Amino acid sequence: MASTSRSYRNSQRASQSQNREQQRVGEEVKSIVKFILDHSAEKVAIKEKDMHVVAGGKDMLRQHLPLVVEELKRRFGIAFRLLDTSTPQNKVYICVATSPMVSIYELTESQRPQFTLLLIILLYIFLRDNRIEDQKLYEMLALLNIRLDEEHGYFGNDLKKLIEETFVRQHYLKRERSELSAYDDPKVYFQWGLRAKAEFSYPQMIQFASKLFQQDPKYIEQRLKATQSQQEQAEQ
Amino acid sequence: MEVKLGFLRACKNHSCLSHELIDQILTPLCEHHNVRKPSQLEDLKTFVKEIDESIGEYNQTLTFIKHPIKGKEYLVYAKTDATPDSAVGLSTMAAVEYQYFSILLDKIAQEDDCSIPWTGAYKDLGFEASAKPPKKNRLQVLLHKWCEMGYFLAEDDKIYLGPRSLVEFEFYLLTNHPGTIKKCVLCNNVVLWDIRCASCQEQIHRDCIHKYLQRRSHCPACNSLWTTPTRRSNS
Repeated sequence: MASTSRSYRNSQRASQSQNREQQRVGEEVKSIVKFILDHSAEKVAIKEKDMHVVAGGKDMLRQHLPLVVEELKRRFGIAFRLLDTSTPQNKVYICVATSPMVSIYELTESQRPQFTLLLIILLYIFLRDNRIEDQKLYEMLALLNIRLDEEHGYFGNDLKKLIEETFVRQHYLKRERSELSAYDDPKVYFQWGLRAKAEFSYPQMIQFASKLFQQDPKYIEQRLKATQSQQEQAEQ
Repeated sequence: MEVKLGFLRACKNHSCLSHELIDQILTPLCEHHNVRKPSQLEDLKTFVKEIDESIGEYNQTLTFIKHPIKGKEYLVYAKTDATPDSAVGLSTMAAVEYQYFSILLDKIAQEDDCSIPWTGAYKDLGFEASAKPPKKNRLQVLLHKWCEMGYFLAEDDKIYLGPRSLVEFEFYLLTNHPGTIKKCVLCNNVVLWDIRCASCQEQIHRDCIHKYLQRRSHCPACNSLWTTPTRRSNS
């Protein structure tokens, strides 16, 4: 009898500690989620290393991450994505929306001009085969009277910093230097960043282009296809 | 579900929303997802309450609060476990800039009417001796951002505590500034810039006392006859 009661007590103790375990796990998931929520507001990337402290170590973080990702998606509509440039030793994540923005009103008044400028840039990169030299981009912006070294009536000042630093840090744009040979000057190219790929779709870009140029979306698509096939023929 | 998540994301981004803004966001959002928009105020409150319940576990809240200075109601996204030095949306700030936020919050909260003139936000701040205070134009940028986020509210050359601070720092304000920040005797929430009993000067929410006086005629604090008019004057 004694042994049965002991085993009963043991099993009770075991289930209690299991409950405590679950409780503790819950708290850790909560702290990680809260940490990510706090750090997602400015749209900058989050390093895995920085989450170790709140998670209680590297292994704990790896263990809880799937649930954290699930909770962020289900309750906050946030997709927690690993950046494509991160290495196994140095993992970096960004938070993106699980579905695209529906109207400009979802942005604050100070975010709206930045967003418009961003769309113009992303559209231009998209129309130019997804990769554009920085000087070409700036020439195009100058045609629209947007100059990096001058204050713009709508977009504000310090546009160079906005494009080359802020948009890049937020992973809307990817900036890379390329040096063809030691004799050439290095060139800087812009591409769509991971956040842009996650938050905007190509059909959306065509919609935006059709509004901007006041053309039918179908016309834009046709023109795009036509130029693409022309280029392909030229390459052959 | 998608509408709720989209709306929550927009609220987190704005941090403090007027009813006009809520409408501007919700109308296209509901159209896009092909669902009926919560058109009546009651429906909207239920809609918000459901979102609030699903994020409460993570110490985040989405809640309505009336702000008497503008006489308007705001929807606020806030943290429930925040202290002034860990406020949300300020994660990329320098330590001294957090300090500025705390100083400003305390400075406004210790005033009798919980407001300071604009110029007071840039002088006599009393940064810690070791800190190098930011330049004035940086202070202006920060203050503008915090007003946009609803931490502070600007009206007629004065800066007041904003709707978000009242939600997020309710506990902090009540414990640290008991002389100037009090609870309404009827609903137990913070009451500021509202109407007072003519006899005992107790401050009570206009809506609370209005409801209360439908059944009674005496002040709930001092029990004298209530004489202050409860309707908002047009002056």
